Amino acid sequence: MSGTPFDQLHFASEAEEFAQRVSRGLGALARIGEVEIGTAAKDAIYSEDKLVLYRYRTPEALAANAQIRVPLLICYALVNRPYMMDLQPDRSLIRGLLNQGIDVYLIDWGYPDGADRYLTLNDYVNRYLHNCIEAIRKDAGQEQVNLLGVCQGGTLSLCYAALHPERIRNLIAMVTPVDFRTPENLLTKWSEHIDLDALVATLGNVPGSMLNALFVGMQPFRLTSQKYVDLFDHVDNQRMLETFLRMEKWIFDSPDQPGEMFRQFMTWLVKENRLVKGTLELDGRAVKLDEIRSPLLNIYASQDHLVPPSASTPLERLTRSADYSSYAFPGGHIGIYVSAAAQREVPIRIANWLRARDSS
Amino acid sequence: MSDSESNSPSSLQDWLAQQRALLKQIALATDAAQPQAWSKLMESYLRGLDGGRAEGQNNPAAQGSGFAPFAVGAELIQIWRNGLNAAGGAAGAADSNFAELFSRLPGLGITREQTQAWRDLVAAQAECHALEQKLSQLLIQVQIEALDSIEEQLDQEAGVRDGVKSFRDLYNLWVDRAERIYSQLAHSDEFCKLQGDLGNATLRLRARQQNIAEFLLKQFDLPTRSELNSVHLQLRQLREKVAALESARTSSHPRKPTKVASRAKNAKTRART
Repeated sequence: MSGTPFDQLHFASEAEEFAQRVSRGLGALARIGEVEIGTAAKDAIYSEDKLVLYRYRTPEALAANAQIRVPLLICYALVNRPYMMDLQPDRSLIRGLLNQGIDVYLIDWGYPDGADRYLTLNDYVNRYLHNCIEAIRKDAGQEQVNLLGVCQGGTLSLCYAALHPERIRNLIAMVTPVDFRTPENLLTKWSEHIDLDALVATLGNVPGSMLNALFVGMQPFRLTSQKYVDLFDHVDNQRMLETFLRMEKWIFDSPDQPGEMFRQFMTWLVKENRLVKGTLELDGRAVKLDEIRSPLLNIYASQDHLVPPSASTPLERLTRSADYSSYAFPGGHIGIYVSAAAQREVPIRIANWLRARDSS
Repeated sequence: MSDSESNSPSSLQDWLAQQRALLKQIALATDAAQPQAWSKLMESYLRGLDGGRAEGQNNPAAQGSGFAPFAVGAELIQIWRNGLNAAGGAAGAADSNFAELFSRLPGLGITREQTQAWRDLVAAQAECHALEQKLSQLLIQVQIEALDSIEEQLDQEAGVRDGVKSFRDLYNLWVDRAERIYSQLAHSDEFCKLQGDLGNATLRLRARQQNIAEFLLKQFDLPTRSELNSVHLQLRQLREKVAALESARTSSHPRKPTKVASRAKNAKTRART
């Protein structure tokens, strides 16, 4: 290797060219300024504490007979904000679903503050989520609802579907952790030695910024360095820069986690794996995944480093749904919502699956 | 050939050697037993920046510092140097005097509780500091191993060697190798335990900071987080009682079941409002 040349002139010109790109890129970023996210038209139909339930407006051009009858509720995670589902017009799962004739509702959990530190897992499943589903049943005039849970919101949705199967027509779990104790699950390993009781007693709500540091710490060289170096390859592509800024805002716009809810979720579901063991209880009732009998679509990302496929796929053997389907999207935890491939594939897959199960 | 070119690495091996030298110096600087090493490292870095070319050429020690000099404004260098000296002085004083003094003070008399609170705080800070250094050493080791891995790949795999045509290629290779090695470390029991220990130590430090902050707030009759927690807990218990009473009342006087409204009716209602 000693003979491998490190062409000094080439290095100097490369460094200079990169410096020029950085300079141009910084100027372009400054010109873009603030970016808009989550602009699909919607109406608030229910609110409780900091939660707001939205119904998205169906595109007028869509023929009435193309509609899927049963409305779909998207239950997002408490980590990060749900506008990821509608990042921008051409990267929007919600618009994709609307265009497929789906009546879409979304829960925005808001930004919990100190007054919310004693909210529990039961509050989220049996109160907030339940009340949202009741509100949708009245609003849409339907007895049942299709429920799509995203990541941690998928875990909440599984709990709800197990406790209230009569309310759920079809269930979709998207990048949802079920078995938290698989060898690939780095976040579980990291939480193993943390004193969760002390964490919540000391901090109250768990800061979103702390979770961000953990997520970045999973791939520190890519996420603190390479990602920004690569950004400057696109300095002349304003649309790409805007998309990058929207993603950057979403990634670091992280609400704090209500302390007691976080403690219960991490202790019961992550450390003790109660969902898999069937030992979780909420409001005095056992949460048994084998109580889920509705049709179930399990969508996971094959390159997901946050929720590895091995954490999602055990769902098949844990429920007693006679109509179980799965779909492995070739991408990562975030690409499944915002990549170009996801726009082409995911909404259509969901819509076709729902449409086939929509008849009364 | 310019002066800067004469100090640039002439081969990948030279570049790797420079990076290793830098990491060794950083590792030394994060070692608790070498409290002055950071300032020496920074001084060496600044010397590399303005080192001037003359100094760099005449001083073998400066040449061995592992930094290729760049032309940077002398004024800016001096600002950094002044800042470094000031920070170093303050940090040194805190390390060697303040902590040592508090560790020896017995808690006595009317301020016993406050003294104890501050001693606990200092002990927690020291615990955090020691664990942070251990973690830093592990992370530096990842980077050193990444460099070793790059060297091995470039030596043994022609495909990799031919693929490195620019500094960017080398950087991408470094990121890839560093992530792979870091991933192995991040999954190890040693790392998980150390990270957990550091997290728990940080919580102890935070709790002790809050203890002192709340003492000060009380002196001015200002509300504390602990008091707010107490209020929120009482509020939650009251809400639960109200919900239970409402539920009991509903079950003793059942209302007629409400029919779900039709979509058309809902749409009309929304249009009117």
